[in-house]
Amino acid sequence: MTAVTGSAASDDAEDVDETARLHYAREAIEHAYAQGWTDGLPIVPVTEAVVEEFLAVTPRDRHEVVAAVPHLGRRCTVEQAAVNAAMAGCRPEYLPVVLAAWDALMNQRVVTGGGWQSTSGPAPLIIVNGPIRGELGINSAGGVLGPGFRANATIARAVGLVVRNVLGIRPQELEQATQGIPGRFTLCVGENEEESPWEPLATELGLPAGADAVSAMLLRTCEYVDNRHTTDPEGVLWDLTDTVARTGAVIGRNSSAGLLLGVEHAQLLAEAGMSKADVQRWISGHARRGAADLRRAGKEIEQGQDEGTGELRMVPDPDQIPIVVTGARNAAMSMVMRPFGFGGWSRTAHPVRRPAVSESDGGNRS
Amino acid sequence: MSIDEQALAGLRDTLAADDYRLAVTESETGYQVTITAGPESCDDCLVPKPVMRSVLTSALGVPEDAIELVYPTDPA
Amino acid sequence: MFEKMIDPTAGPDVAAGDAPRLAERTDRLDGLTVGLLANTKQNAAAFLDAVAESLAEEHAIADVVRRTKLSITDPVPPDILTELVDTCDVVVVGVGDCGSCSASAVVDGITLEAAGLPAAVICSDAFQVSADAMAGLRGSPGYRYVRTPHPVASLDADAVRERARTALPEIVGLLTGARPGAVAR
Repeated sequence: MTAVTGSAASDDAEDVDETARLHYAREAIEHAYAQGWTDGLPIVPVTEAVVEEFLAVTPRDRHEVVAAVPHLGRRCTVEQAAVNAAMAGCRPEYLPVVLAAWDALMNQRVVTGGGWQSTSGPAPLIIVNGPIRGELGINSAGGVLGPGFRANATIARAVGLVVRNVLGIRPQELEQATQGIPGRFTLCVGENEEESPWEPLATELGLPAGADAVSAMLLRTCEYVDNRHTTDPEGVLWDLTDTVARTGAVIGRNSSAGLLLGVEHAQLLAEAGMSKADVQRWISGHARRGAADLRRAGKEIEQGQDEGTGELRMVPDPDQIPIVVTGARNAAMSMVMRPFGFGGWSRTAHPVRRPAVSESDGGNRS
Repeated sequence: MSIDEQALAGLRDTLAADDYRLAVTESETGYQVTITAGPESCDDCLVPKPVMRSVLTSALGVPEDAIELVYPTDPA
Repeated sequence: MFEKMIDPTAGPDVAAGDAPRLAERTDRLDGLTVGLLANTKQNAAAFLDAVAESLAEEHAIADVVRRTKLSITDPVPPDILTELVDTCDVVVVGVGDCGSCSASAVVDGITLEAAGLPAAVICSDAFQVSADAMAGLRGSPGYRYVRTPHPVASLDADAVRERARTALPEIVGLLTGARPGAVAR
């Protein structure tokens, strides 16, 4: 190396020293792999001092239990959530969002039941509202479901690492996912409140306007609906509903559905005078399939048939069809999403709790 | 150490319903409890050792670590 | 090396949780979907079917979901638990007709309660000792279940139906707000 670069001797020593430190960092990551602490991607080594940095940005007691699986007798404290958030690559100021995500998840019946262990291998979807999106850089626009945004990627990953490391639910052991879904690695979106024609999800769910809040549910998958073909709102609704009502999504009594609505679709529907509740009602009312369709797919379902037409309602009540407006306003496409479990969404948003702002901070949090 | 004979009798009856017998002998450190299987016993019907130990603790009036538990499936 | 690196799996004693709590009950079974979680003991499924038949006649239940767990000793597998949580409002578990299956049935009852589903567990009275011991080990001493006389396995079809009819009031009591007596928390 020296022959090529011709560096001075003192630079040489620094090079060697830095190289050694980088190799040591790599070994620390390998150590974490060897211990079984990772989800398959590298983690950040965490020390006591790092944990304290994280705990300093939450008003919550380090011993408070934020997550549990009662039937396994396992639970997770604020401190354990902080350790795993740091490992996941979070910045300390993300921790309050991670904790609010756990508040939201623990309100879901499927989460406190056997949801984490299900054969469907569902992913926790974390939805963030409020100005905190801008503060922390939580993406709510272009590529919102994709890679490239540290806050989105690491906040949701912090949840997944707790499931693995603290709750002890690992694939092919206590987790029995048949195939699983990639969102289980990480799935966190901001709502695009700036371009949504409607009130934010957290406001719909009862929090004051402008609140920093998190809603969550377990998700089986997302399926795209690309409709740049029409400006007729009914056409778009029928296109969305066709995906909502596909037979493959039916298990048990019916299927579940929600929308990650693109901005263009949301604005088109709103311009036609529809509220979110109108869209929910429209889809709930029109997502029907004939019993013959289901029979053809080998699914004999008696319950829930319409007495007149013999059709089946494919989704639960309108208010169990969550609608989140997210993504860029650059093409008319949306996602149908599939919450795990039926009619079990809590319909709650949970405030992000941060330490009271002191006078000396001049009102600035960051 | 005081044995609750009534509790022990109840346990014997429970085991007998699955065709198991129970013998208790004193040992230096506490009790040795041996369970043997009759011809009609079913392999899966004996409760796990932690459950048996918990029952025996209250019946024999000694802590769990004072009970040496021998099951029919244990190597001789 | 790496002793300073925090172990993300470490924490307070995981086994020492709060005592499992019972699920919320409604006053009536009308319109509810009833899950039947049978083990493979002789007459277990027939007993639960007879219970469901009587529930349908007397309580206008909406639907019945039948699941069988193949191991009489292991707790309910996660996929079956998830299915029951997703599709049912209450669950009847049985029949605890041997030492370990009674213990296992009681664990399933406690697990279902923790997952938010009211459960009624049926055990034969010869195995009260193991059922109670298991409830104690799982932090629910005094857990209430339905006792039916031993044996169950050798009964004929009519006798099984008669047993189910006799046990019915107690089963309904355990599944609804009409649950009698104090309940251990």
